[in-house]
Amino acid sequence: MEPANVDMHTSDVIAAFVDRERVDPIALKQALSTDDGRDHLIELLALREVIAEPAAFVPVASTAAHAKRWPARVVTAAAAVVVAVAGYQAGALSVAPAPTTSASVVAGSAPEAPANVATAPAPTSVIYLEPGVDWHQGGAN
Amino acid sequence: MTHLVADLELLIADHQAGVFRYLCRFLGQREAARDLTQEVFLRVARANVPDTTADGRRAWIFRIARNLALNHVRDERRSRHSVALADVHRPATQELTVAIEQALASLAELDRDVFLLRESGGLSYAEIAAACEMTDDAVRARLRRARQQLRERLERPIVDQRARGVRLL
Repeated sequence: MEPANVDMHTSDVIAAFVDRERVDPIALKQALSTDDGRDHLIELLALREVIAEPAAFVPVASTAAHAKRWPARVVTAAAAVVVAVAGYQAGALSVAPAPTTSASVVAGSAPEAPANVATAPAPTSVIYLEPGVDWHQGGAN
Repeated sequence: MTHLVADLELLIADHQAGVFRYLCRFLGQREAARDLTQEVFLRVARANVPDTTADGRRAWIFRIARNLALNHVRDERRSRHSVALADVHRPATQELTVAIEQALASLAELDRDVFLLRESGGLSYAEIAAACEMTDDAVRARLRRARQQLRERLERPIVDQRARGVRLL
């Protein structure tokens, strides 16, 4: 089956309609008044469904909880820690040793000590934030 | 701080799924897309959210995602050699996935960016124009070109989809 043969203007009007953009109703009516125009509409819709083929990916929000998958609240909390710690570290760079494990939580891996800061040692442990874990000293895990 | 965290939660809730879908299609790798999605929102958390409309914020977030994806692809090209997939036997769904990835890879880079921002990210033409720093007319032209090429390359899957029926997504 050959792709529908439509001119640029017709193609753009139908595409804009499919893309939920605002279109001139007279232009849309004209674009859809021919077999080729209607065929083009169907092809664009079919192409969209093909590209949206679900086997290729699963949206993050719909997956079951997994140890390595960070829910939005954890990402937010981790990001808030980054913001707070980054501000703290900016003021405390001259005091050695600077705590770096909090920043390590967000990155998920030990960050390199910047070459131009002689005093802060590289972190030696990485802590992953996991929901439901008791972080108090002596707590399980 | 509570106010900032709440705003950030809203941004994540509104855009995480769209960013993840976009990165999945852009990168063709779910794990990398997941990692980069987290990186996008960590950067959003560190940056000053622009004082603009909801559409403007969305365009800004997707610009971050796009830049990270482009950097990731560049780094991958430097560090890996590609594996030829043509001779590997795959189930039908995986054949389709590969066909889609190859069709997308055949597009000009900017045409593909615009197409994925529209189809996977769900951005409007104005948001795409802001994210890619181009005019609305340029967005339309690139979308037109990308769709034309994809219709030719994915003719068979499109015909099959038509037989199953279509709907407005």
